[in-house]
Amino acid sequence: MLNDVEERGRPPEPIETRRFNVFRFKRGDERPHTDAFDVPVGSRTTVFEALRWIQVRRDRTLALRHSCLHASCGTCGLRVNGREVLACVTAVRDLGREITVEPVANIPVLTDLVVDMREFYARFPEEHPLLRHSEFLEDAASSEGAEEHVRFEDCIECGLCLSACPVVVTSERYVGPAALAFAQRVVEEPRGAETVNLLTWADDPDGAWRCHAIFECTAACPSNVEPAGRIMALRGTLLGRRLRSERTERDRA
Amino acid sequence: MRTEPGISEREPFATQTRVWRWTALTGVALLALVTIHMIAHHFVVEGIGGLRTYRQVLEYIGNPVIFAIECIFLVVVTIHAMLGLRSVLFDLNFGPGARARINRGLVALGVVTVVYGLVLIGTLASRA
Amino acid sequence: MRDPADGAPGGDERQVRGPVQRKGFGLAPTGWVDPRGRTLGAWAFAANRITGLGLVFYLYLHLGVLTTLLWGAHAWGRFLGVATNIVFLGLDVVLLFGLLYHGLNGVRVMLVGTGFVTDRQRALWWAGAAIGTVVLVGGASHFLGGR
Repeated sequence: MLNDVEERGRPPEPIETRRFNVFRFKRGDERPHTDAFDVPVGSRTTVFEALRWIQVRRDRTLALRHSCLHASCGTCGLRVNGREVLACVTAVRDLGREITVEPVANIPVLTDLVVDMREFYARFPEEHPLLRHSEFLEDAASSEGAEEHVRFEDCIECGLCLSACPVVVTSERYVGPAALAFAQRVVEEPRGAETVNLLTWADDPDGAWRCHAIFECTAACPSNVEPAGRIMALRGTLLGRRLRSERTERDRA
Repeated sequence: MRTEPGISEREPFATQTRVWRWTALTGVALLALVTIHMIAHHFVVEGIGGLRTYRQVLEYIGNPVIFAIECIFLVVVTIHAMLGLRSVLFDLNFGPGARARINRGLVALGVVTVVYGLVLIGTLASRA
Repeated sequence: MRDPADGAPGGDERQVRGPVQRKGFGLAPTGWVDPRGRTLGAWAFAANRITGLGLVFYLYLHLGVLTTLLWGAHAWGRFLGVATNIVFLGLDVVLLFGLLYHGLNGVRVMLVGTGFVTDRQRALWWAGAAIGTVVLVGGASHFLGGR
């Protein structure tokens, strides 16, 4: 926070003022509206810090979510100037004089910048495990001879991919990029999990086939999941499965 | 998991893998067919835009090989067009019942288009 | 999709669904038409759709135009008189652009959409754009140069 910098004895950074136009909605409001706040920012101020300043200094009723503050939890996902970002690691200095802050799209708003993530999770298949181990921490001891590590569980379930996807609005039943990317990760590395049901779940007009390869989800993802690539890989798997089953039926006939 | 049957279960002929495969295959075929068609009708005959006169059209379509290619082109482009329209229409958030009707409607439109086109090509070829 | 309210804490208040923000102008299902604030993939998709719809329209227009052949040389000759007009030749260039864009981007969609070279999808688009531009310039000079 700006005051923390001053309190630690370092000279304060140059302060300028940016206008934040913040989406507001409370239960009972007829429709959402926008409140404008002039916020003093430094060269390293993040969007989250600016919003927190608004919450502390200007409007205690502003609701926003945060947790880890270092892009690991996905809780602070927002749209800033129309683009999906994690507020805790998005620098204000790159954003222009007027900054529009809105909740993520395609998920119902609970209040202000807080959305109802139940609708995000409802899109996942029922066997969605709560936790899957990630392998290979960066500073973990390497196996002898191993040249590179690959982490398989990058998804922090921030919902930014669902917000960015232009296809979500074309079908209420579309499961979305995060759920499909999850399914592909399980199919790619089952670790004993049954994948047939997952493939059947994905092989649907509102599953993997609703995706139009737009790649907005991959562009929005802050965590290197590459959901679009995974959806396309899933489609390749589904095609292969269909071709093999047709060949089996022909051989039987 | 999904509890209501998806459209792939109600309309087996329209499974998504089949739709994707046919869209891709007809698309690849069209790369060649459209190229042949455009070259033949714009880049062969001397004249403005390479456009053929009436006699030149009849002479062209009267060739059995050309006739076959143009018929195949008509069928392939119609299939690809109907599948593309299906993709656009399915993005309008219709329910499963409406989607099934769209499938049937597009099959009908495609059949009418192909039949009309084949009659047209056949009639012109017969005048050659 | 499961009912998100199943077993959820928060009482009746959370059963009321709040407003859902959408991106893009117009009615929700057509939001894809608005590529503002989106990346290359969204622009490519919107252009693919628009050229595709244009080509479907052209298919039926073309069948209608070809029907004049049934009415004999005179009718077709009248059509040729219009079709060799500079405006129509310009529209032929637009048609060529539509065909090239839809075809070359279609190759990209087919490859990427089946799981191949998904990490090169942007490069594929630019490669298609380069090829298409060369062919378009050649074709346009042929169409318009004959006048």
